[in-house]
Amino acid sequence: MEARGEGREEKGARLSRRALARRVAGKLMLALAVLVTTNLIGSFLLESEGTLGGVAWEAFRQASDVDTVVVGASYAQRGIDPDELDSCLGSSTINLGSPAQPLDDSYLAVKSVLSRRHVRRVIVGIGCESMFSTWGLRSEVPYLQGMLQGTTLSEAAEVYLGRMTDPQYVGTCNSLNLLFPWAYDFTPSPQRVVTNLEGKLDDTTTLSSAEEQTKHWSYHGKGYGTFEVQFHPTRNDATSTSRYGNRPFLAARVDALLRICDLCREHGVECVVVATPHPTFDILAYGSYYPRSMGRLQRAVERHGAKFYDFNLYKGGRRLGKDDFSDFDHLRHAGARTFTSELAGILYRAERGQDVSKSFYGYDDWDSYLDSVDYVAGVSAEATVRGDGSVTVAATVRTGRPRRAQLRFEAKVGGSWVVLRDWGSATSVTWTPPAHGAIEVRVRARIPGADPTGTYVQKTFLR
Amino acid sequence: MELYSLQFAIFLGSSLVATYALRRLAPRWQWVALLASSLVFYCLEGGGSTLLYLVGCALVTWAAPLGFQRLDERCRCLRSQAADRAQRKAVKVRFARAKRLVLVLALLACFGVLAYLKYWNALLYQVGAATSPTSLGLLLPLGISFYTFQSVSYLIDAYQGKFEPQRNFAKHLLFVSWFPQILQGPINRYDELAPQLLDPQTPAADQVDRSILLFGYGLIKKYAIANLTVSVIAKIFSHVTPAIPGSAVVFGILLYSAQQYGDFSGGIDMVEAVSELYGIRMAPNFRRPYLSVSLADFWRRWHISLGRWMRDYVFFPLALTRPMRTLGKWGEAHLGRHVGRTLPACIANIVVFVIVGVWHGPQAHYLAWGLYNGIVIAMADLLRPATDALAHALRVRRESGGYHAFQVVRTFLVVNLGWYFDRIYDFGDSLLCLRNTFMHFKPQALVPFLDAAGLTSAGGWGLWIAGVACAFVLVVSLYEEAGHDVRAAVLSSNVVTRWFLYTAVCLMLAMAMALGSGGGFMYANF
Repeated sequence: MEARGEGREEKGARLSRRALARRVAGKLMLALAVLVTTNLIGSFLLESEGTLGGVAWEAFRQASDVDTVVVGASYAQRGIDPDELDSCLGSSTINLGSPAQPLDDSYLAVKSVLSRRHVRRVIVGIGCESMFSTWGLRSEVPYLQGMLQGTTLSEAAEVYLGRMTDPQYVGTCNSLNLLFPWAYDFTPSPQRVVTNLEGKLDDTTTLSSAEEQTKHWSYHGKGYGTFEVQFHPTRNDATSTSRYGNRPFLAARVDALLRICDLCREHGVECVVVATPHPTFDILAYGSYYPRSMGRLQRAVERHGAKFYDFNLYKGGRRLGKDDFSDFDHLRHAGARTFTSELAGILYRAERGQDVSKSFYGYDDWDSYLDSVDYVAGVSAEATVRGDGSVTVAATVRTGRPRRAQLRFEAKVGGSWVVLRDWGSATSVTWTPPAHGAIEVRVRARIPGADPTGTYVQKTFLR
Repeated sequence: MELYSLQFAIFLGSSLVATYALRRLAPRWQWVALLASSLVFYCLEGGGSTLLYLVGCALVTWAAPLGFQRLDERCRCLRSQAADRAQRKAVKVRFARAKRLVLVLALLACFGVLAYLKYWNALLYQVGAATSPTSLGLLLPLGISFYTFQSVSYLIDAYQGKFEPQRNFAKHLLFVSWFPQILQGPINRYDELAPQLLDPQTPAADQVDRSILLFGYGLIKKYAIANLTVSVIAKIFSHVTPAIPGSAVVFGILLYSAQQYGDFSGGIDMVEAVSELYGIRMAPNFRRPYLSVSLADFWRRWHISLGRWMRDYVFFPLALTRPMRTLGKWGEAHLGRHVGRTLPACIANIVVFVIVGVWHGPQAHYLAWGLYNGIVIAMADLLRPATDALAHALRVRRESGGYHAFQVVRTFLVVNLGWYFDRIYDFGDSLLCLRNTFMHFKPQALVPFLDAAGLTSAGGWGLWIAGVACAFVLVVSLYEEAGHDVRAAVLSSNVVTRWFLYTAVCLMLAMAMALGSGGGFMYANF
């Protein structure tokens, strides 16, 4: 009897275990179904229709002939004009760059392109920031979605699984959030959601939706678009260094770039890595970090069979001014056209076997580059407010010849400019403003003889 | 590895399958699956190189209690052979000394490693022997404070003969390394945790649901509160200048209040939930601390397991020492009965909070924060007769709801004043911010200051979502404080309400994920 009772108990326990397993499995299935449904509804309601990456990939799919593609982050996307390149070289170029595009995505893009078209040249546009920034999914997912449109489910699954299990992602929330693209392509503005929804219901094209949703963005064709905003370096003295820091290049980023080089070599495609132009003051602000880091990268890229051109060290051509840039590291359309025609010239000469290395300053010859900047490229100022009410304004002159630079400090008092310290080599001044509140300060910089007009920065500080 | 990540999901899934499979096939050995999971987790999260510290700590705290046991046995044997009482007493004294020596050596080994890794570089930097506080490149192993404190509690309890020491090193290692606790606690006790680890019970189906709810609640706290406020707080306090308006300081401190609670208690909720999935309940670590009625009450509700540890292994041993008792008698004779009785506890409290402050880091502002908490609690105890008399004179009805609310608000303010010394990483800046809070509040300067500090529109949206999440947590906390079981209430509600709640929570989390950044826990490397 006892044994039979035990057997019944055991059976009961097994049954309850089975019931528990069924219950857990049922709930898991239900949760999964709800998750998928919510994701689909969320994507329809909130996911932006027009992304810049989507526009680029649409241009790629629609192009009848493509022999050159441009990949990379905003440096490439806003800096390389396919029309200019094609008119100089007779090529058929599509710009597949996108804002904040990680080099891992550039690699996927090149891989996808090589599997679909017979291209002969890949241009990768980079800057220092491309080599260490982690931008997150907000920029990645829309780009991947644009790339995967029209591909098979297995291709899409391969890309998504590859990204989810990538060592950079697998241990972070991004590994799961990748499955909720609408959450990353969603700017929390009700107006934008309505516009987006209207666009979807009206069958608005990706391009018109992107133009509507991306402020100041103008599309010029073949995947290429720029932000046409006026740059005011005299009011905004930010630099790449002040904004992002001089951080060491990440091995994963360098590895991704080298994988692009290798992939191109395997497919017999020419790979050109291009450092796009920044304003000169931005390059000077990097200091010795720039030639050291970029020099190492150039050597690595060339070892992997690709060409490397840094157009910040380009000797010829027109010196790009503030009207050519939209901020401290991006080109506007005018600047991009100038730069692209210079790039086309270099590619043309290189194609014909000419040695183009003489057209650039070398990273190991940094002093020569500095000597060439015999003018004041920029000036920045910082203010420190002390407890006793005094303010110290310290300035930094961006020039290849800082020792020869002269500075003048002025402040606006009662509506007129008062000189705090007249032209001299001192780089700071301490002053006690007459009252609390906003203080407008202007610092002028010049190099006597070489650059008599110089430039200035005008900033407002709170005391 | 974040707790919300594919890697953790795969790890947890595999570990649960392995544990439940062993539970079915060889129940006696299921603890092996728990140990393997814990070690794998440690290697994935903390890196294999720092595993040695954990194993070393476990080895010391496993061997020493076995040494105590052997000494006790030998002592008993020799005492039974002793000729007279005096000889038996001499044997007892000799072995007590030997046991104490073993205890002290083991404590020195455990705390020595912790102190070396955590403070040595900073100390060298302070005396000018190191170029920076991190120049030696000493790696702080994951959860070192938590497993050290937990191991030491086992060591001292074993010394005091509270339980039989564990003979199997692997089982002891499991107690020290149990993976849900390793990130940031709680600091569990051997007699509470070990029996569950060695013979875990299958959780009932509703327990699994409760665990999932708790995990979700932790996710909200971490992702919708902590992660959405952290960057704004950093923007406010990254460059403290004399011009910082008091309104911005108060705003930043209030956000920090939310961030710290969200990060720490959210993380604890998640790991408690994970542990419950294995049928193992860990020690509670938070009990609605912002609804406390005094600072002492706050510290009984915030990081409860550390508070218990400090009470049992620092506070009582110190307050009950002979010099303290002498001081108490002196106080009773010269300053009155109340002072005499509370003075030892006050001093012990100050010492405890100085230790807690230094535990947070070797910087002056943490010491100030510890002292602030210790002194406020000590003064509240010492001045209790005066405050009682004042309340009586003012005819305050202490049992009224209004007075309770007043106490909660007062405690919240006192706690937040303390956060000035915790979050603002320079002691001088903390004082400056305090001054500006009272002397230059300037509410109209708050928005321009935040704009100048670089608060983006996305950051602003993040703060709104964090605000909604805080309100949600407050409602849950008030409901719990009233004695209700929120998880049971949710699970027993009708299907529409339940799924409406789940959807709302998921949407809030999704928006939080979109706007916030990921990242580990604040206390992970303490």
